[in-house]
This record gives sequence, C-alpha cells and structure tokens, in this order.
Amino acid sequence: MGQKGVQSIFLGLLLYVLVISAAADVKHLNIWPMPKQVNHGHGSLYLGNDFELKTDGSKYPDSSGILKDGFLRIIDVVKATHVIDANFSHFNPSRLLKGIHIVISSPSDELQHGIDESYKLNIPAHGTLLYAHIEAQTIYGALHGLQTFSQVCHFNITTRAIVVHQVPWTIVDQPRFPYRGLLIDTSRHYQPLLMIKKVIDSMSYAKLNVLHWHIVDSQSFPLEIPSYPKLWDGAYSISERYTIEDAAEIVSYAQRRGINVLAEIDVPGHALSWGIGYPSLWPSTDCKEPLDVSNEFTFNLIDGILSDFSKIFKYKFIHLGGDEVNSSKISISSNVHFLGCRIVIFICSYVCMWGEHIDASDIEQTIWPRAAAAAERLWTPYNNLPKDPAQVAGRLAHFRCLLNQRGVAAAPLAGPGRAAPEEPGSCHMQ
Amino acid sequence: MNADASNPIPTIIFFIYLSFFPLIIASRNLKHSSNSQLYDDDSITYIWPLPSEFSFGNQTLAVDPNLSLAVSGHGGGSAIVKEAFERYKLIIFKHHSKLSKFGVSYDIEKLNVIVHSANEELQLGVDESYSLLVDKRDEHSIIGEITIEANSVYGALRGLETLSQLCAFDYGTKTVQVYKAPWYIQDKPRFEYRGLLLDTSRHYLPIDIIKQVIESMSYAKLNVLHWHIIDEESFPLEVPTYPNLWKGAYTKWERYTMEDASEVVNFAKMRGINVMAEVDVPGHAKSWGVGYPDLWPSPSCKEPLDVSKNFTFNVISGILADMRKVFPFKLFHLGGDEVHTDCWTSTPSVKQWLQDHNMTGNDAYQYFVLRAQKIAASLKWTPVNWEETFNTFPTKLNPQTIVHNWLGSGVCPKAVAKGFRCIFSNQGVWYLDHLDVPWSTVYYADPLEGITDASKQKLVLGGEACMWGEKADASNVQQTTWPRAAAVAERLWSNKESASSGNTTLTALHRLEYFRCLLTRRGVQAAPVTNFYARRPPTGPGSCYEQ
Repeated sequence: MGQKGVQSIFLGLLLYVLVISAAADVKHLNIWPMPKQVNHGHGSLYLGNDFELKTDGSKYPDSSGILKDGFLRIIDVVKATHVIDANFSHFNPSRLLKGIHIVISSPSDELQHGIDESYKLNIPAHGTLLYAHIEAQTIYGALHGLQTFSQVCHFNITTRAIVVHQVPWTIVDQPRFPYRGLLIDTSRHYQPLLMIKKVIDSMSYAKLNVLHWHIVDSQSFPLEIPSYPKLWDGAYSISERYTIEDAAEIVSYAQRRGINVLAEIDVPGHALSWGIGYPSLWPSTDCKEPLDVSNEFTFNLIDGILSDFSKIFKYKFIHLGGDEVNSSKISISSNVHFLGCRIVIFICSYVCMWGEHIDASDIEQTIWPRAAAAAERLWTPYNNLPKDPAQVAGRLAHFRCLLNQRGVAAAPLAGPGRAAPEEPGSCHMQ
Repeated sequence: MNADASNPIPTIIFFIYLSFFPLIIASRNLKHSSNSQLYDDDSITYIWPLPSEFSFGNQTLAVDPNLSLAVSGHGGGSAIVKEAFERYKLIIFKHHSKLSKFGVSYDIEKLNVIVHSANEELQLGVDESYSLLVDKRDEHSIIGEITIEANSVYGALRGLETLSQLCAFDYGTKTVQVYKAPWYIQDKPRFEYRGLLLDTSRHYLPIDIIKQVIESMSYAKLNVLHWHIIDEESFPLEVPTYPNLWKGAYTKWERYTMEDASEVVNFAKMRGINVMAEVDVPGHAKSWGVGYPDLWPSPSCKEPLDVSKNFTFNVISGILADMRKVFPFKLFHLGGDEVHTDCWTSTPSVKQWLQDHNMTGNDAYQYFVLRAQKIAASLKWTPVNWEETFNTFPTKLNPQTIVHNWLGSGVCPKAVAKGFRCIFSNQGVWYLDHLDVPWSTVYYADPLEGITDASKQKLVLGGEACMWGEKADASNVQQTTWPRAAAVAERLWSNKESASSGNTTLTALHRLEYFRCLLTRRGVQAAPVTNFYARRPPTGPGSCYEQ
C-alpha cells in the first residue's frame, strides 16, 4: 500500500477533522437555542477540579437551594459524558477557570408568567483567578445562564479535562416569547412520575418554560381530587394514579428548574372518565359526553376541582379545554372567576404531545429532537434565526447528540418522528 | 410455593390464591368496571423473575419510609450493600406523602441483611442465592421484620431486588405495603450466565445510556453485560498501546476512554453484573485500519485483518493487554464469526503467505483464531468464540473455549457432546434486533433444548439476549431491549418447571405486563408487551397493564 495510501488517508482524516471543527465557528454555534447576542474569541480555558459557585454581591439568598442545586446539576451533566482524568499539575494555571460567579438582582424566587428570564454570561480569556460571570434579574434567568454555560463546556479527549473553547464569551440573552410550552397527555397513557421528571429535565436543556399538563381526558382520570375522592376511580388501574402529593412534587420539581406547570381540566368534552366515580355527571348512561350542563352538581364538582388545584398549581393560568364539544355553547367563566384565576384564550405557542400512541416507552423520542426546533423558534429573536436549513440541521444534530449524552432518548433527525436510525452511523450524521 | 409436608396452611393459602385467579383475569378484561379497580394490584404480587421457592400469606404489612438497615456477617459491612440499600430505598419510596408520621406505627421498620462471606470478587459462578423473609414481629415470630440472608454480597443484591418488587404503594393509605405477608423466599438462579449484548460500534452509546441499561438489567437479575465494543463500522475505544486505533471512531466525541470503560465496569460491579468485553477477530474489523492501514490486506480489500503480518497479532496483543487492566471478568470474547477469506486469497501478498505456509483460506482462519486464543490465554482469560469456529474446526479449538451459539438451534447439543461449554443465543428467538419475535417466542425458548444427559446439561453456562445496534441507538435501545429481555431473564433465572407449568401463557403474560409497568415506573422505556413488533408505540389509549 505504501506512502501514497498513507498520505491520502491522512489528508482524508485532516479534511474530516477540519469539517468537524468548522462546526464550531460563529454561524454554526452549537448553543441551542441560539442566544440573542453572542460574541466569542479563540482561546481555551479548562475547568479545575474544585470548580466552585460564588455569589458575592448577589441579592438572592437561595434559602431553598434552587441556585445551588441548579449549579450542581449543571456540573454533573457536564462531567457525565466522560471520566475526568486530567493531570492538573501539567496545565497552564493562567488558563484555569476556577468557578462561576453569579449575581442575581432580585431576592424573590416567585415563578410566574412574564418574569424576567434574561441573563448575561461572560467568560474571560485571561487574567488571574478566572471566573465566569452570570448576571441576571431573577434566579430563573441565572438558571438559563447556567444551561448555556453547560453547552459551551466540552470534554477534551487529549487532556481528559473539561474545557471551554472560544473564550472570551460575551452573551446577552433573553427569550422572544414568555410562554414556551410543551403539552403532555397523561390520560391516554399514564406517565410514571419518573418519566414526567425526565421530560421536565429535558425541557430545561432547551429552555422551554411551561409544562402544560393535560391530566385527564375521556379515557382515564388519574389525579386525586380530595374534594371529590371518587373521581380517580376513573383511572386505568389503582396504580396508574397521581396523589395530590405527587402533583405537588411535579410542580416543585418543575419550579426548581424554572418551569411553570399549566394544569388542564378539559371541560365539557373529553370528560367521559369523570362519570366512573360520579355517574350523575353523565347526561345518561348511554350518552356520556359532554358533562351534563343541566346539573348543578357538575358545576359544584368543577369548583371543587379548581379549588383543589389552586392549592397545588401556582401558575396564574389554568387551561379549561373546551375543545371538540359536540353541542351548543357553554359558559363557565362566570363560575370560576371568584377563584382569581385568569382565563385567557391562547394562541398555541407550544408543542403538543398527545398521548394516544405515546406511553412511557416512547415519550422521549417522540418529543425530541422536534420540540427543540419549536424551542428555538420561541426563544431566539426572529432576526437571529438561521435562514439556511443546512446550518440548522448541523446545529440541531449536535443538540440531539448532546441530549443523548445526557441520557435523553432523542430520536435521529432523519425520517418521520421517533424513527429508528436506518443504518449504522455517527450520531452527528443521523 | 413450597409447603412443608406437615404444615397444610401454605397449601390452603395456595388454593385460595388459585381460586381468585379467574376473578382477577375476568376483571382485567373489563375496561371500566368500578370493581375491577379493587383487584388490580391490590391482592396480587408479581415477582419477576419467579423465585425458585416461595410461600406467602394473606396479611398486609405497612413499611416505614424511614426503613433502617442493620447488617451482620463477614460481608455485611460492604459498601456494595449500603449503596444498594440507598438505591432501593429511592425506588421503593417513590411517592411523597404529607401525612403526619407521628403516632403512625409501621409493621416493618427494619431490614436485616446478613452476608456470610467478605469476599467481593465478582466472577462467573459466584453464589447469588439468598433467602428473604418478611414477617411482622410478634410473640409468635422469631424472625423479626425483613431479613435477607446470603452467602455473598451479590446474593444480597438479588434479595434486595426481590424485596423491592414485594413493596407497592397503596393509594388509599398513601403508604408502602407488602401484600400477602408473611413471605418466605429461597432463591437462586438456574444458570450462572444470564447475559445481554450491547453493540456500541454500529451506534455509539453514551456512557449515561450504558449505565441506564446496566441499571435496568439489575431489575431482571441479568448478570453479564457482553460489551461488543468494536466492529467494522467504528472503533470507539481507547487503546493506549496503539493510540491511533480510535481514529476509527465515528467522531472524536463518540469515544470511550480507558477510564470510561473502568467506570462502566465498576458501575456494573456495584449491581453484581460482570462485563465481558469482545474484540471480534479476524472479521468485523474494518475500522481497525483507519488508524493502522497496514492491518488491511489492501486499501480496496479491508476485511478480514491481514493474517500474514506479525503486526496484526502485535496489535491484538496490545489491545488485550490494555484491556486486561480494565476488564477483570475471566471470560473474554474473541468473536470469530462471519469470516470471508476472499481478501486473503485474492490479495497477492497474503496469497503468497498462504502458499508459503501451505494453507487454504479456511486453514488461515483457524490459524488466526487459535493464535488470538493463545494471546488471551496468556493473559489468563478463557476465550469465548462465536459458533462458526466450533462448526469449522471443533477438534482444534482450545478445549477451554466457550462456544457462543447464534446461528440457530441444535448447536449447544453438539458443542456439549464434544465437551465444550456453551452459551445460547439462537438468533431465531433471542436476537432483540429481530423485531418480529414476540415475547412468547422469546419466553418459551430454552437453552437446554435437545440436551437430555444431566452431565452434558451442566456444560451449558446459560444464554444471552443480543441487542445488535444496526438500527438501535440511544433513542431506542431501551424500548427495543425491553420487555423481551425480561422474558430471557426469567428463562435463565427461574426453574424450568415453575416457569412453564400450568396455563403459563396467561399467567406469564399478566406477570410480564406487570413487570413491564414496573420498569416504566422506574424510568425504563419498556415497550408494550402485546405488540407483535418490538419497539412499536402503543396501538391506542389504555392502561399499561393491558398493553
């Protein structure tokens, strides 16, 4: 084979390496979603062993540990891809990133629609005692900043350390829309708690911020309603249920990741399962949908549900469904105003994950990576959205592989949703 | 259900249990009958895989969420036991309850774990037996609360898994209960080798995904991860002695460092799972030449590895020596399947070498395999080879060789007849990438089929489900693997009689559906059981227990 063969292989490899590294320049920025304003350089820093969180000057007390937990989660996710085995004594100390300094202006950790989710992320290139800086109005802006930081960290296969390339970074970012949601349907198929939590985790990677929980529907009623305890007799089975504490746990888990939970109680259609526990809700035994409008009990029950909801779901919106109703108009707004909830007709700015054919076995690969496309459209300013599909494909493939690295079963880009890969190949090419 | 001959109570209880069965089955078929809710999961406990001996009662005991651990025996202080206890506590007590704990007295507050041996070496044939006793402490019982007793820490792990399947969250009282107590379980595996193959060459699997797979294996008591690391498409593993080899990886990110491999081995060990590495030679090795083109017979003919060069065997030596530091399992898989010798007989330099050594293509295949086996043996490894090596030159193989059947049925009988040990992976039934093999076909296959002599049966080490990666990657490997791998797991763990007796199709199906739902509750993306094709979505809305 000889010299020529070796040379051509070498050149081929070099070209391959160049093509891959080209993926890291400005137009092909591997941050998802694309931030509002990004500038970077050409240097590199490495993360030290005792990478730390500093909060000097921050007004946010972190009494519930949201910031600390968020920081630890980011470090875990960045370190999980490979075992760190660097010999730190060999590294140039002026290239050591010691930690991240986060300054938050507001002491409040109230999560609501329209809060300030902006942040600034600065990573210097040189100096002594190097720290990355995040400045944000609220803790939730800071969490977004940490997420972006995690996406510029990479494991370096030669040095076996985590490095940040292309420093210095100057990122100023904020979302285009305040409502960036994902709907999950736990009525057509029960989704175990662990699965919902995994979905919430993966939402935070793409900066989605509303989990629209379509809890009940015709097929099953899985949620405990203390005021009307027979309602969850409509669950598929005794164990395919959520207790009220389970629901509170979901809300808390989501809140600690900056995600609101929009609960939906779809009325008057899509409510067949309600009558399992309370048959008087059905117009008749052979005509079980929509809920019986002539019965005062129906509205007492809805009041009871909404009242129980108000103790668990803190988001100021609640979704009342109202779709696919096979009969004349129904006015229920007058019945619920007193609870102080605002009922707004939304233009759907989110991704809907209807559950007829989705259960715990395929929810992740049905959501991802397609929901990421929506996530960027909802976060990134219109003018920054890449116009060239080829550019997007490369970046989205990279984000999909990042999701896989983080243990999220995101499907290949090629083919229809949740398709299996057609053949062997690199993650970045499928 | 093993009853002491003099004690009729377990038998009576067994008959009561049996008489409930038709009611339970009938109720499962009702979509929305209010009474059916009472039967679902309320009075039936399913354990997968089925233990070898067990008896139960009709009490319901509440378990304290602050369950404490007391250890004893020479191996009781093991970190493996402590870590497992913490892991299982998170699994068992998944639901939060705001109910006041003051004044609530639980029936079970303590878990005793007795491990007799301090030896934590994990190898084939380690003692995985255990006994598990669950009883309320009262004046009549000397047993105490929950006791798991085992000879090794790995038996204790198996006992913890069984215990976690006895516990269920009761939505009425919002506490964790054990139904049908007291439980007396004595359990041990039927086969010592119960494996799952993962292919990280056709698609790179991130470490996190490999760990998820290992964790899910422990739920079904599988105990060998056969890591098919390298193949023709990509070479993702670091080999320090030959650092260019992993240039054959798909990209620089789709690689495993030596430390990553150690991490996987350690993660598995903490769950009592061995990792058997495979370096498939001389076929399935095209990717090796990306870093070292000399390994190819020629640039236009890249498989199998060039048999005529000493360099080829130096590289194999280097790989195995590096891997010896990472993989302590005594078995090492050397592949040897699907070898097409055309590139040897047609490439001039290799053709010349064959002539000089008076070898046909087939002779060279034999020479290659045997030479690789010698390298493994010098590193104190027992070689495992795919069945073609046995089929082609049975009398020349290293007699320690373990024959890995895959091409079809009838191979293990021939191998054990000649004194070889065998692993069963008949592709017609246990290849998970064959999507059209339903759970029942998987479940009813048996590694001992065709072998009647008891002394020969002992030579069948066990079997393995194979999750080939041509069309499986991080996005779908778990729902292709599960729930069918569970069918394999029970076939390999449970006694043939108890797993096959009675109207098993109905019993096994319900138990497998229950186990599949358990897997999903633990975050494992197990596909619906009753779909004909694997890894398909559910056909429509419905309960997990009916899909």
